[in-house]
Amino acid sequence: MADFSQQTRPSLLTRLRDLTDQAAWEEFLTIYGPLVFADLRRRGFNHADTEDLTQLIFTRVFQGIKTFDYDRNRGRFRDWLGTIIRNEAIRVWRTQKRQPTVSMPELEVSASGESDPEWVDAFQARIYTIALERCRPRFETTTWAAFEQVWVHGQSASEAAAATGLTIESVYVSKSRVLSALSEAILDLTDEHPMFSTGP
Amino acid sequence: MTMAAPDEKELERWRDVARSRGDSTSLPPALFAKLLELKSGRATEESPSELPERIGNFRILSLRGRGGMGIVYEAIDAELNRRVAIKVLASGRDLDSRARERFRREGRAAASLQHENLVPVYATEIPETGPPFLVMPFIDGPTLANWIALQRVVPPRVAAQIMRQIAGGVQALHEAGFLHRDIKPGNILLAISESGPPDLFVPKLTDFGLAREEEQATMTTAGAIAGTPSYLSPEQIHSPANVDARADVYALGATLYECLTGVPPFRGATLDVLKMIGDTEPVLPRALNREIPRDLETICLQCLAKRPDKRYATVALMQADLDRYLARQPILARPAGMIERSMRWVSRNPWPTTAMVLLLAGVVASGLGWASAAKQTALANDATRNETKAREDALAAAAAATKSRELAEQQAMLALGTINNLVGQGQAVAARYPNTLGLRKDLAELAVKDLKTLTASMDQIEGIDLTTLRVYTRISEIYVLMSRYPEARQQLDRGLQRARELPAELTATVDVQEQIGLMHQLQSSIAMRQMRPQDAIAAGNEAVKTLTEALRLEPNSYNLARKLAIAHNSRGDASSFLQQTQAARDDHLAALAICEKLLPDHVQNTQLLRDLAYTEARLATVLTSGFDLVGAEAHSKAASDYADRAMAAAPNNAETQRAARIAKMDHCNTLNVRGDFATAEKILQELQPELDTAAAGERNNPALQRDAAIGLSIRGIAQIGLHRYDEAAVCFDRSLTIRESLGALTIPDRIQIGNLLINTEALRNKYDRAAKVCDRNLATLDLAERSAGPNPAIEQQRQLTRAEKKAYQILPAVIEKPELFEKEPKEIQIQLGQAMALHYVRNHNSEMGFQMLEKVRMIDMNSLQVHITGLYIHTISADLAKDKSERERHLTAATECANQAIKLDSSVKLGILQFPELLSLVQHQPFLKPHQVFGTDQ
Repeated sequence: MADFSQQTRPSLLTRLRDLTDQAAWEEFLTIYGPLVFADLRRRGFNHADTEDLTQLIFTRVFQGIKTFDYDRNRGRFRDWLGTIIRNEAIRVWRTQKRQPTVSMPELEVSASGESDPEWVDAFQARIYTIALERCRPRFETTTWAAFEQVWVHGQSASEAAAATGLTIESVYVSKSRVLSALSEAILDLTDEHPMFSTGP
Repeated sequence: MTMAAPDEKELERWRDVARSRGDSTSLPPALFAKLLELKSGRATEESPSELPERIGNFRILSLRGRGGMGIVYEAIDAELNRRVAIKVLASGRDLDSRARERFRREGRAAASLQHENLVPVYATEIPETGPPFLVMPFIDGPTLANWIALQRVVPPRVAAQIMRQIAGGVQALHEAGFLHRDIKPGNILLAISESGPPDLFVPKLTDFGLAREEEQATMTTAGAIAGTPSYLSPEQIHSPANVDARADVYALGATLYECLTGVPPFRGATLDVLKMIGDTEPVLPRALNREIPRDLETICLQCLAKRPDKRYATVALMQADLDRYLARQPILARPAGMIERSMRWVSRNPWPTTAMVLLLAGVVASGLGWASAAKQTALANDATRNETKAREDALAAAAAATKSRELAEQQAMLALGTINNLVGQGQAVAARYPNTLGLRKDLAELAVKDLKTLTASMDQIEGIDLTTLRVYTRISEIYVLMSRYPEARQQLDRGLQRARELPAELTATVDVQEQIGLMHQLQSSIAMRQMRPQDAIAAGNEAVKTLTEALRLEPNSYNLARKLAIAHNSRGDASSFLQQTQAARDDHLAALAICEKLLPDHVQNTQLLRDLAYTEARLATVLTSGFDLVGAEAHSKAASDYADRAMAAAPNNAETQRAARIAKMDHCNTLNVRGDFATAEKILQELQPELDTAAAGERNNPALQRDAAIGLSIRGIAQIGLHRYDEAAVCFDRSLTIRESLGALTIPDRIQIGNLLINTEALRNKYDRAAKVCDRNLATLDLAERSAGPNPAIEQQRQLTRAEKKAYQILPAVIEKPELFEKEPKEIQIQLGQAMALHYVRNHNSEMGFQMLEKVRMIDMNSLQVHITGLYIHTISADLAKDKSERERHLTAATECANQAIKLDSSVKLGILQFPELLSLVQHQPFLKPHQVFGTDQ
């Protein structure tokens, strides 16, 4: 069974506002830290700069959440975070100018753009992976196996039914329950259900 | 309870993205610890000034890290005069007397431990006030966690070697009666080997044993575990009091797992991880990284068994199995009981090939920011050597995986980022330690080797998309950074050639148009540096065309507009170089129009204001060359205004300050041409310290170095105008020396400044010195040929310079004995004759001077150079004339020479007849050759 206490619990991002909730902050860092780190590396910062910049960005994020600069009614968390990263990266990039390449005006080609599909993909890939990991312990083994057969391995419902010993209808139910839980888990992590309108 | 129906299609997308990308990034543990503290506010309070000055007898140098267990400082042991690491125990402040006693006892025991793979403890100290601390040697090197974060994975054999050595250290600990209890990548230091190759580096385990029980008690009672508990064994969580050596076996396995896959066995929030350690099997390493050999996976999983009795019973047994693996012998561990699980995982999760990642092994040096440069080279080279086999495997895998284009490209971009860092670091080293030419060469060779491997893989990839083009561009940019223009050019040509494979509908998109435009732009920039201005213009045409198209598709894009303006400006620069003043002016005007159009919406945008200042300055210079002095003045003024506005908006921005300096220098250039040398000199004198500081502060930044060189050359011209030839020679000499230090970047400038210096030395009658400067120009030409390949223009220039050198060498003798002139071959006579003519006229013997000029004219009627020599010796004579009619006569002759020159080369738009200022110019600068007067110098 899905753990229904999940629904009443405030989302991760909401819990961050509680300054005493160190566990929420740690959870947040575990999920988003590597994502930010990897995005900065992708932008070409070296390891040391990436470390510094990651700290700067999370300081901003922390302040932004504390001061309600991030508001789920005003826009996506993903875009809010993406903007902070981009702005900080560009700012540091411009002030440092450490890379000899950028001193020539014609080489000033940065990877920044208005919409950044690379960031969206990285975001979704990480959140999806984590959300899935979190859902798994909440389901019985057979339910999960049926879901995996259909969703991960791309088998038909009847194949999955044969493999797990469930009825075809139960396979469908299993899949839909896990997907609902997955969608809820993503909501908890990002303040948003994965909906087509929230895609890139 | 109602639950919204999930959007299945969207979830499918997320699933596919996750599957195609993988997710093996992790955060360096030290960074994670710092981030954790952000919320409690501790990290922000930390500032260097708050470092304790001393702890005990140790002078603190810097903070090296902090975590739940304590704070580590770098310090100097004043007594023994050695660098040490001081670890202050966070939990130790309130130790009772018994605990203090045990700490002291354990410290003594630990201090007696000697093992190559353990960081020794020199001493444990318990001061009267303040927490207890440990003294350890300071290890110069990154942690294994740093390395994994940089590389994503450690090549399997290297991982096995590291873990084999660490296991040796742990075994020694166990034999001495200690348990480590906290083995993890962050506690393994990769010390740069003192003995040099082939040892590469020595992994050393740190942070062992001491006071761990107290710490763990605190941890559990507070319920807060610092960092991730990923390396804790199940029994450490459930019954920490009863752990034995096999808990360390588990942690060694978890560390090996992270080396191989890039991620710890379990990830997630602390509580989830704790739960998974107890009841979930880790994902099979080979499911995450197919490159991992099966035996190594088996060893790793044997360590990670949930039940201690299923693991290796001792660390020595694990070490022995690693030895067997390394010796390619059968291992003892068996993948028992895992068959059905492995079937499931392997089929389920086809992880991206990490083939390209392995290529990174060779550039590990780039991550070791704190290791000495020389050691880094050794390290990098050895890594390359040791990984030859791994590379071969990687390449084979890459070839096999050509179908997985996106993946390969993604990895390629990652590899390029690292190579770029390597090159950048090589240059930083070069700037800081000028005598490390060999090292720089090694680093460069290393990077080139990696780039070659990468390009070979790229060429095999089937199909093409935008990212493919970006990879080619990036490779080319790195070559440019290394001044390896032929390779840079080749990669761009290849990329552009492959761009034709793109389907038409993709080619028509704004992104592709933009990328192709940028590639042509880079081509053009390379051509300029190789002294192929015609090619630069041709590539510039393509760049302007494609970027214009991109901008048409997305008319409101600031970025595209800006890139188009840059393309116009650099094509204009190429035209200036060819003295096609009209074309250059048109391009700079086009750039100006684009920037001005952007201005209303970006009034405060300093980047745009800088671009405007730059463009106006270029325009002013071009108009100066065309002798439109009124226009030049107006644009020069506009350049200053924009620079001022940019300065007002961002006074501390280095780029803005630079734009302001360029605007000033450009203004001085205009003043020079107008003959107002005194004002130019005054401004430049004031500007000099700022130029010097900027250049000295960033030795690694060629643009600032070049600015300083340009300032000096404009100042030299002003000095000439003021008849201070000695000072002028100093300016030109310094300017040339700076340019020479910049390598191939400034070849065209170097020839120009060399010529100015030659003429200045001649003006001082220092003909031997002039001949020596000819040698410097010849060296520049050799360099140009090396970077551009043989080229008729270079060869022609070389013949001329050789003749000029010879002419200056023999000039004093020929003046003594004029009959020697006739014995020289014609090409020498032309140079010699002009030099002699000038010599005579300058030394008040104009009759001989004009005779000499006539002689040279007879040899070559069609020499542009000779007409110009005529132009200026007539103007000197006009200046020296005794009466008005003589003066008029010379001016008329000068004008006639100028007309002849224009006839020969219409690009020399002297505008002499419309602009009487020219005559004043020529009076003041009698030594200038046409390409110096009319060429541009920015």
